[in-house]
Amino acid sequence: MKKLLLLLFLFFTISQNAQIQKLSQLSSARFLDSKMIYNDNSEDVFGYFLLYQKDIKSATEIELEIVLLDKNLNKIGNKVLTIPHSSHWMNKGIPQVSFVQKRGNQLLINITEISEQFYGGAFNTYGYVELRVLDLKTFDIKPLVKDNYDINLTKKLDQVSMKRPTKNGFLSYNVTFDDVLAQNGKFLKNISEIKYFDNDLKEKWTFKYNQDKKSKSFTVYNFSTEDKNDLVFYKRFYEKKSDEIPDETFEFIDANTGLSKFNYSIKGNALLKRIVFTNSKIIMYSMECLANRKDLFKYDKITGLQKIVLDRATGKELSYDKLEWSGLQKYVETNEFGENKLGEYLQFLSFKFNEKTGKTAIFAEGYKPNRNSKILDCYLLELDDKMKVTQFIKVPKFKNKIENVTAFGEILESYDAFDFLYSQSLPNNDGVVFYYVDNEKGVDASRRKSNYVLGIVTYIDGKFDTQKITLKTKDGNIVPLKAKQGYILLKESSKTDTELRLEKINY
Amino acid sequence: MLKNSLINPKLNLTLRKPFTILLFFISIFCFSQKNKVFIDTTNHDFRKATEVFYVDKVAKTKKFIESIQERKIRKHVDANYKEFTDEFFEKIKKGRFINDSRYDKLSLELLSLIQKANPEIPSIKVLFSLGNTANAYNFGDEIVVVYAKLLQKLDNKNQLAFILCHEIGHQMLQHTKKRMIANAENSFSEKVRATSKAIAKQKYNQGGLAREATKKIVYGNAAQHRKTEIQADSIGLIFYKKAFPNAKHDALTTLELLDKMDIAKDSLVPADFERFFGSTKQPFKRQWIDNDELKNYQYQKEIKFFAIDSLKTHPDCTDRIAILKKFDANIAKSVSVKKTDYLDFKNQTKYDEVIGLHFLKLYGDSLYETLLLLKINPNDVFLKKMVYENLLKLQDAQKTYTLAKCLDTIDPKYYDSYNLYLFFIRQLRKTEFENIIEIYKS
Repeated sequence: MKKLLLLLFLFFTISQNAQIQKLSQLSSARFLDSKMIYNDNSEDVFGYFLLYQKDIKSATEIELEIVLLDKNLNKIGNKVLTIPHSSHWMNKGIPQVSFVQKRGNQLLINITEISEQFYGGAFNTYGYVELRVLDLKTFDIKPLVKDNYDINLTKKLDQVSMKRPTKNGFLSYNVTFDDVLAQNGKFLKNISEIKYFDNDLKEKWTFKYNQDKKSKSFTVYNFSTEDKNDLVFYKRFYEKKSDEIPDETFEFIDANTGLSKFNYSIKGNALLKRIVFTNSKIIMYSMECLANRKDLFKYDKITGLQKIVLDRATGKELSYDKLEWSGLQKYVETNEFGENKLGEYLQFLSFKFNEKTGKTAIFAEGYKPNRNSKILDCYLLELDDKMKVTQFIKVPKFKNKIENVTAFGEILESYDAFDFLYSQSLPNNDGVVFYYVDNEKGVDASRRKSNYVLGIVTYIDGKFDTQKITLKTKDGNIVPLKAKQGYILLKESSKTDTELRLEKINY
Repeated sequence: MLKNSLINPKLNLTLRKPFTILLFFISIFCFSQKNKVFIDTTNHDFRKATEVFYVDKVAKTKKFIESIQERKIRKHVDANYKEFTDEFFEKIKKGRFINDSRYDKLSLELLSLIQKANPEIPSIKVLFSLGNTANAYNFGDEIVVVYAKLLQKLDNKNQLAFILCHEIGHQMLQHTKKRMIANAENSFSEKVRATSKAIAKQKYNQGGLAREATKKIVYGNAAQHRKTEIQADSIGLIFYKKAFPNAKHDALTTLELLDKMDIAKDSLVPADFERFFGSTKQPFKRQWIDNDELKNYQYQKEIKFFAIDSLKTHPDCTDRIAILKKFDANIAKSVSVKKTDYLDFKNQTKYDEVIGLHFLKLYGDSLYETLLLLKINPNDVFLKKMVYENLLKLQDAQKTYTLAKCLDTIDPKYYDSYNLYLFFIRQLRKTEFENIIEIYKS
């Protein structure tokens, strides 16, 4: 029934007696890291990637074991591999999985060693040297590039600039170590190329910008999002190296050719929340604030939520609608910046656009930006295609406090302070499910051993349904984890073992 | 134990909560057909009596443990034995064992024949257990446990008699006690201690060296287990032949059946689901059974660490058959005696199993077994009632996000029919579940 999974150790337990148990412990593999594997270009789960340390072979080599599970937690297979290892006392390496991506019958994986001393200090970049391909049919694993230290390839692919792989390839900027370390505009002007490589690290195209070397002004391209054949870059403009002009402009680039499709600048002083792609349209949701376009975004002066619909082929604006706070007056009384009499605000956290009806379902949470900011109840909104509120439901929940943090919603969201966990489409395009935490969080919660209360909201056929599940067990705890569409993974830990239960959402 | 591989791979269950006796079983009797008698799960007196009986047996074994000279060995054996007995007491308390005159009659009949022909055999108690395992075992306290599910796999009483003789063989040869002591001695073995110490001192390759050492111990234990099985077969055959001189051949047919036992004979096909779960109010949806989840994966078959043959605790049945033939060259020449009186009893045990699995809160398995029976007996009122009761329990579990505790998730190890069923249940939306329950409500 339950899939018993010893996450921490892969034991070959043979007996409980002391000597043999000691031997068994020595022979066991230590859990290092895990990652969820998604299906190709999909938000549904393919399976799970678990990494264990089997053995330290020498001062420079470590033996690892990869275990793959399917989306129902059945073991697909395992593979042992040896990678270079740093065991120097000043720089002791810990292997971790930087990313795993499924591409057809292959898994593209990146296992790198991070420094024990400088944990978390690694750049968000990936060297091609650590890229490996695991064949899902044969379980053979090999480096992506035959000659890992190919000098020519090294020249083309600046190791520092390798960005996270896109769905179909890799991006690389012509940056140097200095550029990365500076990050303040000083050297950003020099970055003038984006190279795109396919899955086999073959160069497909180069996109050039900042080509006028005499000009003082320049643009910084930050990869934002993608969908099938479109890459979206957020552009930051600098009139000169110390003078950034705040602007919410996006450039859409064809991933196959590297040619710019179009640019789009969001009206007013805005902050993009989400981009949704449909076959023919692009829907952008953004918050707008009352401020000059050239000023910084004012979090306390947000006037509402914008929805912009663009033609996917041409970038032509098909519609622009906005939900002003006054549009919510029927349900909640606020001033023009969304603040109610108690000094509380709403933060929109997750959006689900329904292509058929044009409606948008939103999961929001209330908050109060006090000295110790408070996270309040949940709110479920349904907006029609013109951003008129058609449903507004308050779901009471535990009010968490964020100690010594005074901040508005966007900042709190960036710090993951809200109780919202994630949303996921349901199978067969049935709708969407939103998950949130409905219990006390933080140090007090662990001291009081509070039970985990999982809030689940489904939005199916235009109807919201809410459920609350208290996850309690006799002598341990239960934590929810992301699972395949329509399911939640419950990790139940006790003193003796950890088990994972795949539970279907009750909808 | 009869054959480890017979343990149903579907289940990995430990019971967690004390069972409450459900009035619903009493109501089931009202629906039952006149010629059917069902097991009674409200058997408190039987549980009490079994507990008292077992306390006496435990005391006897404790005396044996106290007589072990070496203190550390004694302590180790005592700790392991306590762990086992605690678990067994729990099983008794939770009503795992069947109290039913049909079962008692059968075991008494066979035991009296075996003991009459073999007076050296001590008093043995046979307990029939509920559960989804086709197995039998002896653990050294003059008790033989036979799972009711095993009874369904047999063709006649003689085969059960041979199984009892095999388990009595384990008892007579004191295999459990010897194994407990051997394990303890292994634990304090100077050789193992020195190996562990030497490996722990190594800077590199600790894991590889320890795994090799572990392999040797595991393989050694498994080989020893296989030896004891052959010994139990050998002495069991002697007991059996004396008691059933005219049915020697059934010792062989027992092993032949055990060999094929893991092959499912019954299955559910898409048309069955359509028949069981479609109604005017809730038309059957093809997507409920369009299961291609497992087809998306290439499951690795290679065994990476242990060589599977070396791990087997039981010899292959074909090897055991060959060995039995060596013990008695004429065994294959004798003819199996056809008896039909076992058939009714055997069929009844299938209904008992459905109740038993429900009682053990294995609602998913109970429903599946019910559906297999319903396929053959579509108008059986009792079975329809069991479909209803199991669906209600599964729906409750779905609401409380505990469905995985009483219903497996699909697994490449399972049969297609069972995976189809598991997939189907989890495809049902709230209202669909409700509508399907409605079909079986009346």
